[in-house]
Amino acid sequence: MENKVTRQLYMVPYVLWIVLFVIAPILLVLYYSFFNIEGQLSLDNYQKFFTPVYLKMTLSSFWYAFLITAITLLVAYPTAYLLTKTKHKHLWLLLIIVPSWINLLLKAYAFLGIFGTFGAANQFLELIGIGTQQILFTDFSFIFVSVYIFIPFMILPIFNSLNQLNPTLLDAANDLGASKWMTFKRVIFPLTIDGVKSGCQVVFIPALSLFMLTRLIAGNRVITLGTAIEQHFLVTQDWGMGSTIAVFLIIFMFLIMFLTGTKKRGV
Amino acid sequence: MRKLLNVFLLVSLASAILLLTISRMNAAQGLTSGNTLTIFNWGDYIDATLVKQFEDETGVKVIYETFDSNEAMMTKIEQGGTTYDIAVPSEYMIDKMRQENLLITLDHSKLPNLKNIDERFMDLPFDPDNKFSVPYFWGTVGIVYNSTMLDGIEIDSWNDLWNPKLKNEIFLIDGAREVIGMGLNSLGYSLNDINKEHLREAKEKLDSLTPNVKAIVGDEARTLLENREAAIGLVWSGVASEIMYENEELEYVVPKEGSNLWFDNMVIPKTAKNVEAAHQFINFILDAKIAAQNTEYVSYSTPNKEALKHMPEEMVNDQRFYPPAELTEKLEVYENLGKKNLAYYNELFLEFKMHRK
Amino acid sequence: MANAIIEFKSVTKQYDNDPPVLDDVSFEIERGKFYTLLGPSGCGKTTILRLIAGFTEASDGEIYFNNKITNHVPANKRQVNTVFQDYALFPHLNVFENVAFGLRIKKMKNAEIEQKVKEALSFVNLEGYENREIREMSGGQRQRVAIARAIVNEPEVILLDEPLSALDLKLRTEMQYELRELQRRLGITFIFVTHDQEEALAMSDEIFVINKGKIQQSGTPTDIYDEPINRFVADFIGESNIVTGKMVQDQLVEMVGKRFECVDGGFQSNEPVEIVIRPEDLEITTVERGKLQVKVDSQLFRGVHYEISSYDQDGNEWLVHSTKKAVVGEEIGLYFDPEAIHVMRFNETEEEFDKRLEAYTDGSGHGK
Repeated sequence: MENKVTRQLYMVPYVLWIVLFVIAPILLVLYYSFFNIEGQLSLDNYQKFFTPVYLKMTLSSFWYAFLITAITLLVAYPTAYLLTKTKHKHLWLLLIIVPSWINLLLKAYAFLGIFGTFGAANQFLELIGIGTQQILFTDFSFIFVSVYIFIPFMILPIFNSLNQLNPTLLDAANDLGASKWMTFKRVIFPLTIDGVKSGCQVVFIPALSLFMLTRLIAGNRVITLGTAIEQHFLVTQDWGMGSTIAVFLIIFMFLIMFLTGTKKRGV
Repeated sequence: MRKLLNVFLLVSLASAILLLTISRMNAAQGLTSGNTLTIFNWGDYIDATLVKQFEDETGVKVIYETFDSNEAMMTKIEQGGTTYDIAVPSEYMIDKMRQENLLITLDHSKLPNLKNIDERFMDLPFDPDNKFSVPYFWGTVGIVYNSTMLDGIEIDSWNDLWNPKLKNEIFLIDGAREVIGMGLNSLGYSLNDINKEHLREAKEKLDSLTPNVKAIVGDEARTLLENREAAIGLVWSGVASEIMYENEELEYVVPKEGSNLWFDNMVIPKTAKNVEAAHQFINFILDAKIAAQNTEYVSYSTPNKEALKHMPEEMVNDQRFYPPAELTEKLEVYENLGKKNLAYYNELFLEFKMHRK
Repeated sequence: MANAIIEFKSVTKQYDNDPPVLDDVSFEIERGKFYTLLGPSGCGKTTILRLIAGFTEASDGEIYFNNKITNHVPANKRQVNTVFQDYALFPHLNVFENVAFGLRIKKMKNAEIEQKVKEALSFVNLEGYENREIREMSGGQRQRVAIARAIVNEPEVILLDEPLSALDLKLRTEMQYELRELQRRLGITFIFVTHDQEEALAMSDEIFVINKGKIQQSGTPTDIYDEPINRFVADFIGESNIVTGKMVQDQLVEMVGKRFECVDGGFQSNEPVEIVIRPEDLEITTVERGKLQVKVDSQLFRGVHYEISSYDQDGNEWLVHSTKKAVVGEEIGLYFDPEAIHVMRFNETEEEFDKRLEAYTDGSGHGK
């Protein structure tokens, strides 16, 4: 009996945390979303979300988030794979993760310099004879910087799942006639799919609501739902509309989590 | 586990020692936590040595915090988490805060230096009789351009920006009123126009500017323009004067169709705890010599006519930043248009941004 | 040899500058037999397996498969399949797909795959388990899946890397019978790696005893048990009493200060040697009738026999397996036949050993 009581006691901080910092804010956001700009209870905001401006924004958010996630995955998976093959893999992993400790704003400003008309990137292009290009404020620079920022978050779960992979399984596949590519396709990738999924979640969901980079690196050429939320809360002070977009973002996130949800497999 | 505990203890100890040292140092300077003044201002908008000087003269400890938009500032004051003793909102926001009873009436008897302020900037519509606010800086919105990059193209009007030769050469600031306002002005409408048809028209006109717009940016506009990333920028006069100081190729013009005239005034929010020290500080800033020093640092235009006497002549005589009265009369001050109209401005601005894809 | 399916010629495997894992090893594997590579951990037996499978390459020497050099043939192109120590079943595939893995790689038709997988599963008594997930299978069942996955590919050689080590004793004994039986039915070559000498003795046609990267001795289980070439083999295979002594002349050996008749020969006179007598060849008798006189030190009941530890006057330990009980602390006599004595030369290679054996037993095998 006492055991049960103490166990419930241990649950208190957890429950408090969940209620105060997860459930309450979501409910609050939901509550605000039902008030229009004049403070009246209405569904105006939801109606407004289904106008071309916001639908287009949603579409472009998804498109960019998808591109960012896909490219990040393409870069991160081989990198994580090579890392697990190196001698001091945890040291190399650390080196890749270290940049994520640096402030995001700082990194973004650094790229302003690198990608500028007279920046290092263009100096290099000039050197190899291609000549100065418009790099900053393009889709390329936006995706490049986003990928750069998200890569550690993608590498980490993939690295972990690759690291947990029993190397004998690779021998087994090889033994059964599988080439390297076949082994990857039929054994390595399916067994690390959980790492890939959580990596994609960790990248896709924040990428959906990126806002600072859209201004700094893309010069507001890329408008995401995150940009709109920021504007509604800080500039227009239309908390209702901001909350409505947030509600949709939350729904999207749950959908994504649900779609990429994992059945636990273990041996 | 033990190791973790040790690290935790070490960090705690280090923090405690740091805190103790800070409070000792403060005590040594005669600063006690009882007599503090919390100032809420725009980033990089005061000469920090003046804050130090004020602390030394009065023994009041100043806590200085910054914001980057009027709305963010107001949101924080409304929430009341921190007790700000002084804030520096722009004119339309003062109007709004005044109406929402967020401000304390100023005691003019405690502000003898108020006499230094130019009559032109007193008793304006957003705060009749300056009951709630005292001018801090003022300025205009205009065009900064790099003449060496323009092949002799002259710029003195908003409509000059629509020149097809200026492809990808313009930076706009990320502000709905500034950008929509530019559209309105270029069509001969008022900056405070709330006629939806006029606003639509302005937005469509802006859409046609799209090929010329390189990016819509924030504070980083300074560095970008300074570094010749593009030839032209829509900026506040203060930003212009600052970067012109760094890059002499740059020029600033207030377009002839008209533009925005703005004020940032000091106010005491309802949340203030140290109203006495707040008055002390406002009066300190209004002092002619202090204001002159502050202006030289911040490089916006000062409303303090006595301060001008203590400033370098080339600065005071620069008509770009101290335009004569007949010019400022043509400029418009932003009015508080109300939430709904403001929301419409923002929606149009968002649409304009989206159009650029 | 015409019937050799695998042949190692002076194969060495060495990592960097460490001492070699395999040191100039040569041997032949014949078609259709059950081989066991036996040795302590780290002796190089698994390395041999990995070389055959193609998971690693030899540093020196040649490996032949069906008389063709196979050193650089990749693992996925070899007619060899492995049953791994931890089975290495694919956790994301069910039993059917695990077994079908190799066939799918070969792009076999679905109907054919289905038939072959069913056949293989019935071979290992796992009919009806096709749709089970691996995590739902017990250790013994996983073992069988692993075997089915190997045999379904119809390889010429199956390599088994300590496949029984994870099973409990009862299941292990059962699987020993099954594996042996399976090998007979399939008629293909099994190469089995283990450190368990009982397992090796029970299952194999041929045993290679390996130590420190070298094959110490190879032969049938009885050969190796009865005629260990050196102290290591004698000690590693079964229980042994080993003492030093000298060979006075052929058929006469001196140990613990006494001379004994024996059946070994081909030595120089008075050559120092080591003598092995198996505990089960010692018989308890009275002090007077015993060839050796010892004092019983301790006694354990082992079920089928008593294991008695005793010491002679020189302090040599004598282990006796006897169905008769002894009394701890009592003086007893130990009797043994001349055939029970096995004399070993120091540092004799397997080749020399075989030659000597042939010389003094006129080629008819070691008479016993």
